Amino acid sequence: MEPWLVATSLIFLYLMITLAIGLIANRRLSTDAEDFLLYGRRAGPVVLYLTMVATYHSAFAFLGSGGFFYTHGVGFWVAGCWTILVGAITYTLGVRIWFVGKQFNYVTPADMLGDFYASEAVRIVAAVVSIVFTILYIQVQAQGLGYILSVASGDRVPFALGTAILLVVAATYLMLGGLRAVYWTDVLQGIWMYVAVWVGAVVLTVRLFGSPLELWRRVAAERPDLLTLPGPEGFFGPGMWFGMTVVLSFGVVLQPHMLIRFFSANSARTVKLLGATTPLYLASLYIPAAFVGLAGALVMPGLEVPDRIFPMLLFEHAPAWLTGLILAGATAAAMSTLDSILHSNMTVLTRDVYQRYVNPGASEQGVVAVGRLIVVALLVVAFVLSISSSELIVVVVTMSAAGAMQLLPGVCAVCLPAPRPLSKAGVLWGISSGLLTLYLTTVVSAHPFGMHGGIWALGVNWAVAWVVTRFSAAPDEDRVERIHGALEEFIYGADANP
Amino acid sequence: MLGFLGIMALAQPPIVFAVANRIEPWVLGVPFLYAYLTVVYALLCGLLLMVWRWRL
Repeated sequence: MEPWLVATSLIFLYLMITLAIGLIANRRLSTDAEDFLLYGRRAGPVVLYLTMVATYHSAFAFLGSGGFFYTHGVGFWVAGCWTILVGAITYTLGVRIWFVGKQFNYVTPADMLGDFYASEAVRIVAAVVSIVFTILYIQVQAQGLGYILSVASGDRVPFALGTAILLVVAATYLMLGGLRAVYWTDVLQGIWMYVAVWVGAVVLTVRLFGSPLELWRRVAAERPDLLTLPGPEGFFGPGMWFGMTVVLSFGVVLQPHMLIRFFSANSARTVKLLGATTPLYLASLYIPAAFVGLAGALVMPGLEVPDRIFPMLLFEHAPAWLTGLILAGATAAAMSTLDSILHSNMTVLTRDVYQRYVNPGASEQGVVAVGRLIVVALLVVAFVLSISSSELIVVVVTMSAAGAMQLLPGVCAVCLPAPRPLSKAGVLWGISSGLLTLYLTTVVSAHPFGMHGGIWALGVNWAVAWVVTRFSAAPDEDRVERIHGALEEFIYGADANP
Repeated sequence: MLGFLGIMALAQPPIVFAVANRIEPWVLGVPFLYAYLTVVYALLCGLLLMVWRWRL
């Protein structure tokens, strides 16, 4: 059988399995909107673990990270810093977010901030930030999916058709089973992508060099510039190293599709377990990526699009069945992030727009029905975005994690009790000035003085929020006491450290 | 928390650039920078697991 046919068949087999999982999830779905949007806040450690890691790692981890090692060398092992920091943030901040979500029935980040500040303006700004900086991220995932199917089929499935097929599959199982279907498919995707990237990288390394140690020796002999900082193109300077550590940990955790995972956990113990153990998966996925990128730099130098190094090496040096299995793993990596973003955007639009402003008295069934309609609309938006190449889209995608990170001062004000929390005006001015600074430091003049633009933006955000807080009305004392009192009881009370 | 930040500082500027940014000496067949970062990450993961296990 032709290699392309094997690879494409395996991807379609994988898609069939995800649809079957969506159908099974649909049979377990109740008419409860919380079940559709938040898995009924019953997600246990195994499911939540795999959905968190699968969602965190997108098509970029599978294809882009190999390209980064290919171009910039071992500097990309900085990825270990931000993935481990994700665990620490989950352990400390995530468990508090889970608690306030459960205690006060929050479903989205805007719910949490809007309630704490008793402010529709804060709610709307948080919802807009949540959507704008993730909806365009759909484009990256959808394009990755179209590209994978196009590569696997040897360009027999056109890019646009491949994107459409995979988007329809993801939207279908999301509409069928809500967050439960997303989580269950993520379990499959999380396992598949991890096994695939490790097996693929080890097979390639052994076939090309005999062993990973020989690969390291050859890199040192032929491309020593790939083994030190800042790398061949000077990319990984101190500012970028520190900036990526902060932005790709705090920024990604604060994106709504990750934050909603905390709300959906069944207990604080589950969230803490995730914090302690997810870094093992998240960081170790970049070890085989290093093998792929560095091997590619030696055997296929000068690629115009370094992100293609993994599939190109596979087609040239691995058996067809293995290539198919691994490209299905790449599909899993992209779909697990895509479905989560589709879901989180649907949740924000359903909860923060439809339920809040359009039809506050909507029935549970009505909310679920509207959620499904919103998924269809998002599907169309995602497809249009994936086949367009607007410069604005590229700009916003570049700012994605750093943009979401501008919610950090507000989230900290809610979750970390302090004598004088940031005021409503402080948070609003902070977010506005942070986003403006982000635009200036990532688009107008990228990363001034070698420091990541996201760090400049967060610094300005926090400084402005603090100064404005000094000269504006403090948040309502009773409301702050209600939330912070409950949090302190949870953290330091008799049931602390569950 | 302080322990975590202290170990994380070993993988951040300026330490990682001043101390670990070299190929030699090789550690178990792996160049120094990569091996150094891997060890620091293992310590951080171990610390998180320890905190969870002992409910610190």
